Amino acid sequence: MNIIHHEKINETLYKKKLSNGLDLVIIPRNNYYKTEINLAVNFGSIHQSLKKSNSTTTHNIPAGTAHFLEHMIFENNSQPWQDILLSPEIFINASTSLKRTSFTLSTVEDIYPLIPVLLDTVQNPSFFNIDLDKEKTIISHEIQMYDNNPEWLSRIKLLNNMYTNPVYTTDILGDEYSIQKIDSHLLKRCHEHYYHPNNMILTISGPVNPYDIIHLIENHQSNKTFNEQKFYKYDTLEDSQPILKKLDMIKKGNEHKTFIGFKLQKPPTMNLIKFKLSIEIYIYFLSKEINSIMSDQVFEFNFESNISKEFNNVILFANTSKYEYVDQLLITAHNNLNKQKFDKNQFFHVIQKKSGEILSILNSTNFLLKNYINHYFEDMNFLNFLNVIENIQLTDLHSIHNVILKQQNKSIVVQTPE
Amino acid sequence: MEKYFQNNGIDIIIHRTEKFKTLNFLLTIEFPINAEKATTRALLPYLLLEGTTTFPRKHSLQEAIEHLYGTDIKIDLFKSEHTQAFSYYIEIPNDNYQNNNNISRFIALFRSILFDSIIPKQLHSDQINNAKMILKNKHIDIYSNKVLYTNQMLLSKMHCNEPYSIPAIGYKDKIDTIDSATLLDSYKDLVEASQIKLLLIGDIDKKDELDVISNFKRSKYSTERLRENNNLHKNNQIEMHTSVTDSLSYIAIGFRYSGSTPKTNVLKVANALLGRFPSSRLFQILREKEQLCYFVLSQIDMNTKNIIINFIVEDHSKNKAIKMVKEQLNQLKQGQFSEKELEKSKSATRMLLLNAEDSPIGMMDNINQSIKHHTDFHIEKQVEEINNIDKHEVISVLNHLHLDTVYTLGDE
Repeated sequence: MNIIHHEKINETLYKKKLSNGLDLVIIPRNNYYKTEINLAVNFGSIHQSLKKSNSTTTHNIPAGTAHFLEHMIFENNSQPWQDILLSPEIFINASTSLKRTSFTLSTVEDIYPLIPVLLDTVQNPSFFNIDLDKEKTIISHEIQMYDNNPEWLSRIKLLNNMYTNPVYTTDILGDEYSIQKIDSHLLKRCHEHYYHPNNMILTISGPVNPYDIIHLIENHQSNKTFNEQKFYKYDTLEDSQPILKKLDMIKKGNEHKTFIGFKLQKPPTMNLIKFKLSIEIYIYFLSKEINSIMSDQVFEFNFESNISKEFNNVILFANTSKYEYVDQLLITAHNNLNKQKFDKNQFFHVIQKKSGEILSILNSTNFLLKNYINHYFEDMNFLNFLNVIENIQLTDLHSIHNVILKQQNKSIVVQTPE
Repeated sequence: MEKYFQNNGIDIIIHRTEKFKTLNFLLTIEFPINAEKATTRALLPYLLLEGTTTFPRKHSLQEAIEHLYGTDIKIDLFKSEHTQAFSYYIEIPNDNYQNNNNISRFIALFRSILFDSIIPKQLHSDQINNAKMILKNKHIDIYSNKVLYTNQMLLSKMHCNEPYSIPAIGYKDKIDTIDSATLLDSYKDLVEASQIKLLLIGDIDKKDELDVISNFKRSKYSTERLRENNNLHKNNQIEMHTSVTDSLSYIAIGFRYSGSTPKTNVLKVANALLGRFPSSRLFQILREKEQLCYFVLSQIDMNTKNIIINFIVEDHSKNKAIKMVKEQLNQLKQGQFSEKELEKSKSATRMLLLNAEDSPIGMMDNINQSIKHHTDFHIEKQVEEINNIDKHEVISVLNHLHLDTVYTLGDE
């Protein structure tokens, strides 16, 4: 077992990789009431292919499969799991993203008996013979709920216009047609393949004894056998293809919106955490600059940045459909930042502000584990963020300046009322 | 440890805890609710951040706040039965993570945001327009969130002749009528007569505490100018508002609580039994058993003790779902629930309470609620109270709930 003390944030992390490959991470918090568990599988909407057993060929799996499997795991009919589902004092949830499916459980009651139940449910599902139609109806409702959200649709449209490779842009839920193609045989194959301990991480934070927990889980896992799986490696090459469509219009909802997205490539000398944090700091300066050159604040805007091993983008959201004006402001602001150097004093304050945000995330065990896991699947250690951010230099912002907001990597979606 | 000071309409509550890595400030400004002034007052939290006499422009004020290492200020507009309020929430790193002793500077800055605003001085028209735009966008946000909007519409129907129907964010079509005279008047209300509360939690020492108390003062205070008259007219009619939207219907049902004020924790347990959790009746019946909807939730409006139930169903199942909600409540009213269901509801309520203690906002909310509802601040005491709730208490509280309004979102 590795015990790592992160002095800067005053957290101690207990870490162990079990012999079957399962990664265990425990961050004790003795002054908290609640214990939070997050069990995550490296299976998300980006994973759209599967190797056939005893063969080298791969075949595609329908959009929405990881999410569907997440739902079906919940359908486990074992009594201990059903008891948990019906226990309101236990919060249980699951979610699927681009890279992972995660199962969270939290309670202020005794956590120890619940850990094996969660592991059993996720590792030994019981749904393979049951009728999937009920779940298809529920998921189709969920899809309809998102279809009623114009902003969500515009965002997906933008990504589709930016990327050639559909795995980056597929809706996590799939669509009405793709989910109809899912059957229990496919789910079983996906489960066998992706839900292997070697492809999972179990994280726990709360008033727990890490030694007891590790002992408990080691014992529990030693009784199970898993077939060896070979995991398909995704191209770690960023999508350097040109964007597919420069400008698109959508009539939906009752609001005016502009979405401007940029693909960008990481400078090879920078590591991913530093890249991610430097972009956030750069965006801070950029936003300030946009605000200062906007004569009258005619619109509100914010940025989203998606930084991962495979692809990176920055998206600006503005609540106006005057996209040419937004675009021009963005170009001017970017040019201005080139001319005027970043103010050193301000830079220091932004670093402090960002550190404050990280500390705020650490206050919540739920956010802590969520952030730990999401970054874990990108080979980033969230607990190092505070250290990294304090080592960012002004020159790092200059490097970002040179890769961000390239006109040839730009795509715009304009949303206007129906 | 709890400190509670009152002078000049300013309450300061300080709770020391080493649990979190940040210091947390919640500043609340409260006015008696008034339909005429509601929109202007809703504009104040945004306008105040446009500048102070020392930092007359938004970006310079913003920088001053950032220099104290604060994260963004979160603004909330809300109301209680007879008041309209707004709050600023901000957290800054604890001194042991960043060595900057700046609580007193922080307090001084907030004092100047409230009492040395540019509003009575040289306010520019673009500053008023900025604030107006942000407020308009809040209206648009609610309008685009169908569940929120359904609830707002339900409340306006349910309380149509009561001050409580006045939305905390005011009226969208009134925003453009706000001029500098009405603004100045509302600002004076704030400076001279509003109720101000500062809640501070975190790892702070005695010296900081004294600093806060001695620095957070106002120069003028009289409630005289806020003697406002609100006539209460209760509307007992059951209304059904219907119209077609998409294939899915967004529905809100309001059950009105009538009777003497219930014990907060008993009401919470009753709501847990009904529909607050996935294990509650409504979710189990409407979603799991009948598969009528993906989403169903029952919440207590803590101001009125009314219960609001939200769900989304396909149009053709709407009436069936509404009928089932009524049936479930009736069964519970008649005591048709087991001891086991009750115990589960109690432990769920207990869990929500303890869960909240693990986050700064939740802890502040628990403190605020215990002050407002005069319950014991000590969490252990509250847990004990929940443990002792019996079936009769729950049935009695449930029987004070009566169907008032059903609202279906439509294109009105």
